[in-house]
Amino acid sequence: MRPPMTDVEYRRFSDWLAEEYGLVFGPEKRDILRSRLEPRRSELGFDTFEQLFFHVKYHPERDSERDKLIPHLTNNESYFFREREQLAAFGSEVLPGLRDRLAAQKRHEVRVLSAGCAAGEEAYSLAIAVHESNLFPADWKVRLTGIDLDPEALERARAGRYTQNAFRRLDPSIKAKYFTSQDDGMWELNDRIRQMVTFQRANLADRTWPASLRRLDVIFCRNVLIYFGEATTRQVAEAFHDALVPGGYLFLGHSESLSRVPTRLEAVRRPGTVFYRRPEKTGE
Amino acid sequence: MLPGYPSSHRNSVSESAIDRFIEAAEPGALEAARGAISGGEAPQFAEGLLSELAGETTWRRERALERLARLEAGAALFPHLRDAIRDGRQPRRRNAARSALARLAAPDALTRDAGLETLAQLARRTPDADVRLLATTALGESGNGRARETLEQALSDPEPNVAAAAAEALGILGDGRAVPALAVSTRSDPIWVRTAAALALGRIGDPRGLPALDAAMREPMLAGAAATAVGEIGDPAGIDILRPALEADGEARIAALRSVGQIYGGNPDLPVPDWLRTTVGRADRHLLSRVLRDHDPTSARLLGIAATPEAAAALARALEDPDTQAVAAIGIQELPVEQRRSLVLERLPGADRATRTALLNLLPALNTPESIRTIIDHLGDEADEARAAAAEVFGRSDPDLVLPALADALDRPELRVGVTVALGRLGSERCPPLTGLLDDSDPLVRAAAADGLARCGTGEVDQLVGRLSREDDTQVRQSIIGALGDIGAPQAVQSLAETLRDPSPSVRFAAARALGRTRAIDALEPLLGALADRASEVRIAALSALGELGDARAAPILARHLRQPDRETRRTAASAISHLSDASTVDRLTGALSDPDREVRLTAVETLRRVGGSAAEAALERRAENEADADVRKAVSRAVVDVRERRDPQQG
Repeated sequence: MRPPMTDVEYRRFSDWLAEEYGLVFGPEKRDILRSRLEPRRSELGFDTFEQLFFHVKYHPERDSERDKLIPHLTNNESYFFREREQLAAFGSEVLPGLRDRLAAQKRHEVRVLSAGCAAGEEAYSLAIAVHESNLFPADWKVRLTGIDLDPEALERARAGRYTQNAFRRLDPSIKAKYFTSQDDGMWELNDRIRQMVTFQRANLADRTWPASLRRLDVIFCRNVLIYFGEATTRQVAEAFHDALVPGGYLFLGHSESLSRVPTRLEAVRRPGTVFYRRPEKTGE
Repeated sequence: MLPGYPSSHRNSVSESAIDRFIEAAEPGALEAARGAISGGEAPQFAEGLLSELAGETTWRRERALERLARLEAGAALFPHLRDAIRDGRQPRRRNAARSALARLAAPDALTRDAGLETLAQLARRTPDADVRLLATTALGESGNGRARETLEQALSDPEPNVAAAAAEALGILGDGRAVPALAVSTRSDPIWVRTAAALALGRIGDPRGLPALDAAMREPMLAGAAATAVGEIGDPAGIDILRPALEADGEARIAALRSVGQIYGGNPDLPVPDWLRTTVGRADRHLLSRVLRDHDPTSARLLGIAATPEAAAALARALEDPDTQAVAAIGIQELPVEQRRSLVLERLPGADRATRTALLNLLPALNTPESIRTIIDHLGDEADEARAAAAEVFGRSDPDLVLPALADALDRPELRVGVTVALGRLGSERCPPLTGLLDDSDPLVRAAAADGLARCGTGEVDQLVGRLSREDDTQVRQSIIGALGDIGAPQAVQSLAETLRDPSPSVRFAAARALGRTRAIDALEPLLGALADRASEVRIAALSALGELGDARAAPILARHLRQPDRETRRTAASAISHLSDASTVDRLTGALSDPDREVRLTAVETLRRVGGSAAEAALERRAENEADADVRKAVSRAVVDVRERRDPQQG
């Protein structure tokens, strides 16, 4: 029998997911949470969600169990060139400015992060945008990094193979230029773009995630903060500020903003989009 | 600078103090405020604060309020804030004063007593109705349970806006004791007082508010609010109250529909009467757009209740989209059994891995040889979760119908693990094939057989103990230990206690958990020993197991763990003590009611509610006055009402 999720079980899971991963499942999402936990409860043969909770929280091998649970709790649905206005601002304003600034500093290396990259659609869209811009000479290094909590999604990102659904907003000529059709109906990204991006696991709710990265010129983190509570958003905004070089840029999803949290990043408004910039001089 | 906010209100000294109050790290921030206030600049500091609270930078406003609660010297600001709230010339400034006073009166504020008294006086004694309105609103915003009596009096304020604000504030406080007063207000004039009272009854969520809402549903102008409130209460009795609004075409219909969704969400086994399916079915299109656009679970549930062919097809399509899958599953679960079974069996072929798992989870009991054959093939599904979901389908089917097909399928190597899992789901008296599978060459089969035997009662203990002594695979050992724990026979305790010395922490973890489930008297000593295990996970498991064991001798030891610095230890100890509910529990948990961790406090509240009695009631009442977390406050309030009802059912 499928057991119900009791009030206490719901509270424990929702509190834990908020504490550990910043993921918020409010009362209106209680049934969704139950539905997403059900496959793991069923596979582990537990009779109650309390047993599942204790297992994922305290079992000595809990890390591997959490790796299996996380894909059920986060939405990995995305597609190439999502929110085009932002990518347009990235290509027409941010990248040229960045090229000039880095050239003046004699730093021939661009560092871009896709935070919450899921199966890599955003990270590879950025790589394609950089490639299409033709702004960076061959001796420059363009380093794009995708980070996500979900190990399964990262595996898919590294493979660089996508269904037709991922191209719903992509210009067919770009698709033809960078992807090859496979016998199984999938589309495979060409090696040149794939090699521009590396992927690694990171939990944005964990303060230590920026430690493994060098200071960044641009961060994209779209449709991720919507899953976080205020405290986590505040902490992540602070981490983004610190992870950016002075003058670096942050792009959030169109429905997200930093208006409710203290931030030293400045909002930059452009037609159809808003992004943020770390001031050149912060007085630190 | 804000319009109507003269710059002369801020001078340079207090301006710098207020900036530090908001921007510096907390100790320095509080020190800056203390310095300004004790240095004779309380009025200037208050003015600077009001300017910030009336400002447009959300985080600065919220941080100022957050810190205000920890500022003991904040009491010196009261005269100034009182004057500001009375000054009607600057509306933004007086609203800012309202927010400041609300925060200073919050249960976690160091100034809560003086803050509450200030607001109560303003609410009761000020001739200016606008001031009474602001003070009443602030009392609700404060979240201080002790404001209830003042607010109940304000329900009779001659100014209707004040009465409506009082009703709203009582809803925010969430104290069930306010239900009778609010029920009276659902008959007050004018309409907006009645509306506020009805919505507050919903927010409180106490079923004792239903009779008043039933009466309110008969008034067309009030029916929408009453329907919303009925849904928030979530009691099954609300369905009949909603029926007239559902069957009419009035404005209350949409609110009533949502409330039906909410009630079924909280009561998953509630039968759906035919009249309800018919009336909800008329809203298909509206609901579908909400499922697809907003991923709204309530609309999905209503589509399932409607169960029209269009609704079912739309839900099935939504199940195939990763964005809407979880929401669609909620709707499909509500379809009538036959319709759900047909939908699942029709959609399974060709479905992707996630959709297969979701469909199998939604499949009702199997009832035909064809359906059994179809699902047996999924016992060899490449996706572990789909395989487990298929096994569970057999667990909810008639064993006599499915057992022969499962026994035959054991001969197919690709199905062997899945079939073993499914056999284990069949429950008691279906165990003989599993006993033999304990010695299978495949460890996955052995583990599944052990898991399954746990559901068979006590007859297989000897075989499990014997297998445990020969078993090398860590995973299988954990499964056997889990099975022995579930069976809980005395001869298993000795064997389980020995595995507490296993080199693998995972095995010791499983052993501690299992010993708790045996509920055997001689499991106490080994579990007390496991509290000193070198692995923290095993110690936590032992702590939890001592609660499940239910042996009151463990209570003093668990209580000692409530004082440990580690939060997880305190949480587990509080949860464990909740299983040992006796008279001494109240004393042991009183301290946990003020634990810094809300989970510990919530567990303590829940346990005291269950234990009941006058000592628990008194401890909960004391907590009600000092609790800052809204969820905990609500839990305390409900616990107090519950304990009182059980003590004296007549008083209610």
